[in-house]
Amino acid sequence: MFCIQCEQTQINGNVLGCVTQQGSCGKTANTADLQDILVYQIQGIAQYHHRLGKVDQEVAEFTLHGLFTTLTNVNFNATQFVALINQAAQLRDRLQAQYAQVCAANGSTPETLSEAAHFVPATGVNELLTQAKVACLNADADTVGEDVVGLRVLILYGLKGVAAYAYHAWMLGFKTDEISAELARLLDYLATQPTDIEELFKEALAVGELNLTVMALLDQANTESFGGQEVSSVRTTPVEGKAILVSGHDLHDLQQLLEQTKDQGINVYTHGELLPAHAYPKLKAYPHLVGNYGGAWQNQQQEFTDFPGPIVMTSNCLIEPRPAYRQRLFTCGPVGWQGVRHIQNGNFAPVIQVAKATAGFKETAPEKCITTGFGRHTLFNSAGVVVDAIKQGAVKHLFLIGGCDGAVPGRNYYTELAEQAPKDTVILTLGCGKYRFNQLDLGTIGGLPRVLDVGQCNDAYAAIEIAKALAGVFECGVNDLPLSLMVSWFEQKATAVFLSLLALDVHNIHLGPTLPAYLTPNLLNVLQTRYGVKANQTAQADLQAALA
Amino acid sequence: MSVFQITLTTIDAQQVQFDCASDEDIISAAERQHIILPQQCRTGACGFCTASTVSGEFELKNYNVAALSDEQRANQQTLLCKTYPRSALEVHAAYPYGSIQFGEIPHATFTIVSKTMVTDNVLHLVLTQSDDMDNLLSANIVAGQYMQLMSPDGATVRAYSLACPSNWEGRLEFYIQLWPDGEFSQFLRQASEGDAVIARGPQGQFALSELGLKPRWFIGGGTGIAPLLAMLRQLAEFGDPLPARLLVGARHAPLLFAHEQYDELKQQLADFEYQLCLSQPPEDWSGHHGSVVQALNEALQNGLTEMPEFYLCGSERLVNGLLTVLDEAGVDRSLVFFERFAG
Repeated sequence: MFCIQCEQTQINGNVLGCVTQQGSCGKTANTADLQDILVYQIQGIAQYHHRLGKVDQEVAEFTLHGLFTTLTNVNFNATQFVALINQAAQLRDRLQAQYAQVCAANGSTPETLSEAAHFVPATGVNELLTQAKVACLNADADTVGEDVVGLRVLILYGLKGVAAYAYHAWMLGFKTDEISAELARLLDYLATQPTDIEELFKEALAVGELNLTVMALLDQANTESFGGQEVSSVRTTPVEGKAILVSGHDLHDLQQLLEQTKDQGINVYTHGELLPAHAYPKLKAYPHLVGNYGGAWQNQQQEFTDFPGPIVMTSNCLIEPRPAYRQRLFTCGPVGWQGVRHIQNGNFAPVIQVAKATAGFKETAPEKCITTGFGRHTLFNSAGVVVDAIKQGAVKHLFLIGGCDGAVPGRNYYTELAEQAPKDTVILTLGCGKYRFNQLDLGTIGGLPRVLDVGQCNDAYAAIEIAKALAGVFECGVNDLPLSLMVSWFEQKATAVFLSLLALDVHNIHLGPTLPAYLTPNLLNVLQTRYGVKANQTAQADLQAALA
Repeated sequence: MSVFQITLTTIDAQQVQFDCASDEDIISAAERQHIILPQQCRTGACGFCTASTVSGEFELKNYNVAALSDEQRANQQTLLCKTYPRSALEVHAAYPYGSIQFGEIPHATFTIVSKTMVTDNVLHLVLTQSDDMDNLLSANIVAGQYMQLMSPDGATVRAYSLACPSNWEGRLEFYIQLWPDGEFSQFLRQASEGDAVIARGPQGQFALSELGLKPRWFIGGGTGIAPLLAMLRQLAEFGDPLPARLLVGARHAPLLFAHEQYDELKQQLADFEYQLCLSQPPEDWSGHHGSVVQALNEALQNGLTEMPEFYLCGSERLVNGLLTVLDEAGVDRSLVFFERFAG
């Protein structure tokens, strides 16, 4: 096992990454190795897909699902990876034959492709696991060096994040051949085991550009499916009655569940990154979408234990389910855990059965609420207020404090930032990082709350669009705005967003709470020199520097 | 009767303390004080609750030497489910603190939905929960576990393996061997559909290995097939793609039962085969001629493309016979999971 993709990756002396029998996330070495094989096969498939010059929809969807399912805290089920590996081999065989036909038809000689394009998975699991070493991400580190490996995984992990966002859009029926083709091109590039540092940097930025396109598509998908976000007050305390909790990110899954639970006397609560669902008119129109329960993902073991009904996990971040709720936990789409029931084809009937058989909340607690819904539409509608406030000096500075949350104590940094930011500053937030401070009363400026919840982590797109619009109004570049980006990362979607910001030439991003372990000192040096990327110091010091 | 203090240290160096009377075993005493120690058969047959005694005197009653060898006993090891203290005791367990549960084992009243004799002595019993409906005991089943069943007056109690996986219908299903002189057997013989039974649990540690990536072989005899059926049904419900094989043994054809369930599993599981083995088959028997132990031995001798995980359940004699065959074939014990019962 070698996995270095998330923020909680193990660092033991000079050994970077999770390399033992189990990763920090709970993923076993077998699952990690099988994930590596699947990703390796997907790169091999992309070699043919890219050369066919035409997007194959089955392959495009498999690529998104396959990469998404290897994201941190998504799928731990080794058995499912064996099945996906066999499926990948079949898809590759089909594309390989098609490629041979195309070459024969136009009289060209097929290119010599990488080993990944010819990989044949063994039939026995033991033999399959021994094959994992060819797919290991640092297999040739001794030859090519840690900088090359670091940049390759930066690209790969960025692509995993891209795939996750594109998958959510795909589930809502939004897809473009442009995205599928560029994804295939970048995976094909990785399959060639590239070693040119400058070229790798260039392609890492291409991942960022692709992610901008994908986030825009997801924004379109969410908006056209559910309406533009509206400022909404969300109840955070229970209502008497049977209850279902939906966690993860997938608005399509949530909508299907809301539709299937209509008029059944069951209340639906969001959890974690689904909080912004309450801001979409077509979702909040369901009267039984009653509120948000709990906080960010890392608290789920206690929150799921306490929740008196079934729980649906639609994407990351899943952590080891405790026996107390394992039988009432369900996974969807790319998510999986051995011994946990999986929802097939959007049929939530088993969840509804469990909701009816469990106690639900016995009484209604006193109402408490938080506000969300400062997405692209709302922010553009409020842009005049923000612009005027900046012009009049009522707002001195904007902070974007957001991204992923996590379990390590250092993440209190983000609470301290929000608490200590001067009263004449506005905080845009997104992702589950918001739970570090979204229940604090930080006041208002000119009728606007000081904390504006833009949405899920993919709504970074909205924040970027707002920054670009403000730069247009003030006739300056984004880097010249009184704006500081304090980005907290945990998994690979944050990596994709980070690359998008770099692709837009955004400078001086604070990335924390710790920097990715795969960014070697040389790579960091380049990022600091070219983009002024900063590691977190203390909240006080970073605020002072930002406001200087 | 005297009462002694028991100090149990877990493998991660944490301690629990509780009292134990001289006429009760350590597992039961802990349970009375809402400390649920890891356990399986509670009859001294499986060896699951083996622990080392560090200090103190105790008496070890009615256990199977297959579960605790004389050598282990000489090394101060004991089976907690059959250990009766004669002084304060300090014991070291081989499990972590996290595997101890605290609280009462839940119980609820059930109604007999159906009782059908499937052989001359085996009863197929189906129950549904009829009180405390917000806490369905059936929801917490880990396939392979057992329930204690009690008559409504609590006078007679017996533990039986569940033949069903977890469900949200409040449904419990058992295959129960009825004994001519068994107290609970008498109760069940006399009970009618619609009558009440109290169930307590689920309990036990016999379960599917969660990290399994290998084919699975399930081998059992008599009512020992019940937990194996629960496991297979769970795999079917979860759409598990791994190969599963079931070997069922009996002496004569009339002692076999649950044929419909085997055929259903064949429809539901992606890769499932079963083999019925008779040690005294009729001439026209189309299944395996010979005991299930012989069937396993032949399969191992013929060579397997991939060594599976083995799940064994049945009488001590049967399971011990299967374990001997597996040991002789050099099968790693980490691939073997079993539960055995007296009789």
